[in-house]
Amino acid sequence: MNVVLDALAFSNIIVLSSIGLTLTYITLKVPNFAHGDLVTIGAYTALAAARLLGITPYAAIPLAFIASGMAALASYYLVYRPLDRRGAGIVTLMIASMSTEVILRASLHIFADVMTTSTKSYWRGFLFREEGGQLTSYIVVSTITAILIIISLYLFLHRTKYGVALRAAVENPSLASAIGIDVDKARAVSWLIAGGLAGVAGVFMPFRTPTDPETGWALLLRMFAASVLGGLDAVFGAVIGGYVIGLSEVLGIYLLSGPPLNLSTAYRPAIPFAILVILLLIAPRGLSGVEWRRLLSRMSRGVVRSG
Amino acid sequence: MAELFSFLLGLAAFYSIYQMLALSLNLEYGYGGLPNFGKVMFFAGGAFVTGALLTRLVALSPGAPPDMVWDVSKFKIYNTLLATRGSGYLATNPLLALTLFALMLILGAGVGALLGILASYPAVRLREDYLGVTLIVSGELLRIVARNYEPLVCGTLGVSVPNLFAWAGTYSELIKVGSMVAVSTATVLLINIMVNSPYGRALRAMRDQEAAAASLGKDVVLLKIKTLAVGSAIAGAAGSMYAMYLGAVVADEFTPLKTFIVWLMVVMGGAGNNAGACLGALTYIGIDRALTLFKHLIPLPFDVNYLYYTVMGVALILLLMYRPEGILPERPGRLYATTEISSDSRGGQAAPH
Amino acid sequence: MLLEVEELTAGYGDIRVIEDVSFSLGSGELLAVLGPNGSGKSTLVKAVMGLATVHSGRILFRGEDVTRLKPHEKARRGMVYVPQMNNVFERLTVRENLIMAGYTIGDELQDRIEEVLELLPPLRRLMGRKAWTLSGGERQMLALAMALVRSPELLILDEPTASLAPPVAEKIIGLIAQIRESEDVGIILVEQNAKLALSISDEALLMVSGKQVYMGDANKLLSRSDLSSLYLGVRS
Repeated sequence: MNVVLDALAFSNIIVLSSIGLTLTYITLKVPNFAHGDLVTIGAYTALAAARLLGITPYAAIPLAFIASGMAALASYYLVYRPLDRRGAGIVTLMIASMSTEVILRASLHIFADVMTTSTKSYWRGFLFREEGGQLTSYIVVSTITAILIIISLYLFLHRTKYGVALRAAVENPSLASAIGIDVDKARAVSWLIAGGLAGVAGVFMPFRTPTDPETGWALLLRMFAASVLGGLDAVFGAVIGGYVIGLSEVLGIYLLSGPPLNLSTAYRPAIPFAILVILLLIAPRGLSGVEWRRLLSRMSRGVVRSG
Repeated sequence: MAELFSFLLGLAAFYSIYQMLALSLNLEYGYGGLPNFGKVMFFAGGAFVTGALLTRLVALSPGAPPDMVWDVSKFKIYNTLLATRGSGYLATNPLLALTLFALMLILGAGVGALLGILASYPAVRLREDYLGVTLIVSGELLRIVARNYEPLVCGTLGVSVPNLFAWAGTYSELIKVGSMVAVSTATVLLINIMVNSPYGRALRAMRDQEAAAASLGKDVVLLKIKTLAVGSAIAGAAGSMYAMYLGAVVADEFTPLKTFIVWLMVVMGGAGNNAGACLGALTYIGIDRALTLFKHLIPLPFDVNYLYYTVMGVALILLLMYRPEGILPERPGRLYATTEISSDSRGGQAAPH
Repeated sequence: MLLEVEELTAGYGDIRVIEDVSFSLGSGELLAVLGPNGSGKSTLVKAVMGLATVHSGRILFRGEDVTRLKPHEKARRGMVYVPQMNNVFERLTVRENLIMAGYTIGDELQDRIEEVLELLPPLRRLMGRKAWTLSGGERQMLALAMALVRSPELLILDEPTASLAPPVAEKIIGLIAQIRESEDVGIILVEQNAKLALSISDEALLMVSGKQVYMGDANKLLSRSDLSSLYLGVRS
């Protein structure tokens, strides 16, 4: 049972971060390699709030949202928008994405080192220990947070005029601007939300695993697997993708590490990787890109023929 | 004086390794338009095969206890001892040492080429963004497997590699680096010949004219496979050289940061221009080595390398914005005549459609 | 006059695609812009809308010189352009598309959408569908509706029947005729299918290789056997 709960908590983190990865992918069609580092920023914001302000990490969720959201927004305004305006192609944007990743991760290392020296306490490999033996409270909180965020994001994107405009602007920028939608602002808001959600995911990380400046980067594989699984251009596909990836990784390694295989649990990342590779080879546009109707009709025809 | 000499030797050694990496990426991306965001994987492939085999091979000759070599739990502990003993043995047998040096380079190149052919499977099928994601995570997975599968390079502890130049005594380091420079220079010549051959022109045609290239049909697929195989073979050989130079292979060193550095070199120097890629490599390695030398003099509460990476990241982004063609832009040459391109790359095979 | 175009020369960047085109259009009138492929029909309307480079000439909208205005400034004055491709938001539902079309309209948006649906009733049963699931004809209808929501004074339609099956194309043309009847709007209709377009037009402009070879009464164009058989594929 504990394994299932752990898998759920892990999936919540993946889901929250993959939604943002998909959202930023839609705006500029660039895979944001720095998205994992936005998760780390969220984790460090929570740590800083807990250590310096003395509040519980949960209370730092809004702060983490703002910190990571601002980092994402800055990368949009300082890196991607200027390049996009210069007519940069996809490879250029990807090189920039890789550079941004290096900058953020190296800055996090610097931050961790500086804080360690100046506060005389460890800022690497930290964990949030819960008081009073409520071992699973973060599982409950992360699940509720994930559900609330998914619902409110859905309502925002589908039930508010501004949310619909945001979807319109990222889908067809030229038509949207002809209609009077501020496309640039819509993109900026997308990056803000994407970064913010990664930050929220980051708050839950240190409850599970010792966190350091590399933690978020290591998550990137899972986020990509989840986003591709859900279809890189479908925001809520990432929700399903995230839960599938998170659950199959944790539950999968639980099964594989037991008898008869006794595999080392360190091979965990191989599970999302295998899913990603298989997916890219059979359905490069993700599950939402599969032409289910055609596939089903072909299958049913096959049944008729054989029967 | 001696300090300066050893600094220059180190510079030459790292430069010859990164020159090969930068040139291989320049071949793939600068000339062929194939964005390889998994460079570190092929580099690691060469390093891992050297780490896995060299110490064991050498240990067989001087008659080390076989269980120390074949029992992973023992090899994990005794590999440094074996490597040191191996170095001592090879000191008396320069011919064998040089043969092993060549063999390791060939093996590294072979493993690199193999991985390159493997990577060409997604490379001919996926769009750049999906391909980039696939290659970057593939590289990470290789690292994760290497750090957990101990028989390969002893997991997180790493494996020691014997010194193949111990026979040269006090000149050991000099001759080692000299051989590396020789290998690297040979690569430069090889790549220069390649990019000026009909193959090189076909490569640029593929990069510049997606539509025209598509009509070339099967040739493009083959061209991509070939290019990734060659580029990755060079990266693999560089990895092997890296392992032999440092005398150790640690899996966790092979992170995507290495890929970033190679991209930085190529973009900074000028994609599509080999001299540019070399200049980019020299600039980066020059600053990097100088920083390592003077690190202890800089009073910072953190590792100065992180600051260097941050600055380099910013520099690369600024380059993309203000000088995307790099310091030494590609020279537009007569190679651009379309008729020449199409006749060359079709190579007399069946006409499209 | 609603729109006056005087000796317009335009193209893309330094390249000139159309030269010395002049015409005028009154409110409630329908002008068909005809001509073979590559004759500059689309460039002409794009230049009018500010989406192509104007080299010389003037464009007056309700007497005001709008030659140098940006597309969204023209849109604000009531000039609405429906491009041939990518003219709806595929991932949005029909309802969401209509709401987006009226993004800058305030409270009266719902009423306006209702009015447009009166005009294009088949859309009513498609309101919940995502646009990418619509047929070609339904998509064009949606694009038309999105333009109408914005209560245009001048409506520019760039080949609305391209790649539609003939009966569907006829239906769309019929709807355009109906729009002209019920709305006080001037329409420029760029069309490949000359016969279909001329059947509902007041005036016609024939373009050949970037030059205007005919401008005048639509019915008279059909009687010009030299032009109609050569350029319009219409046999008289």
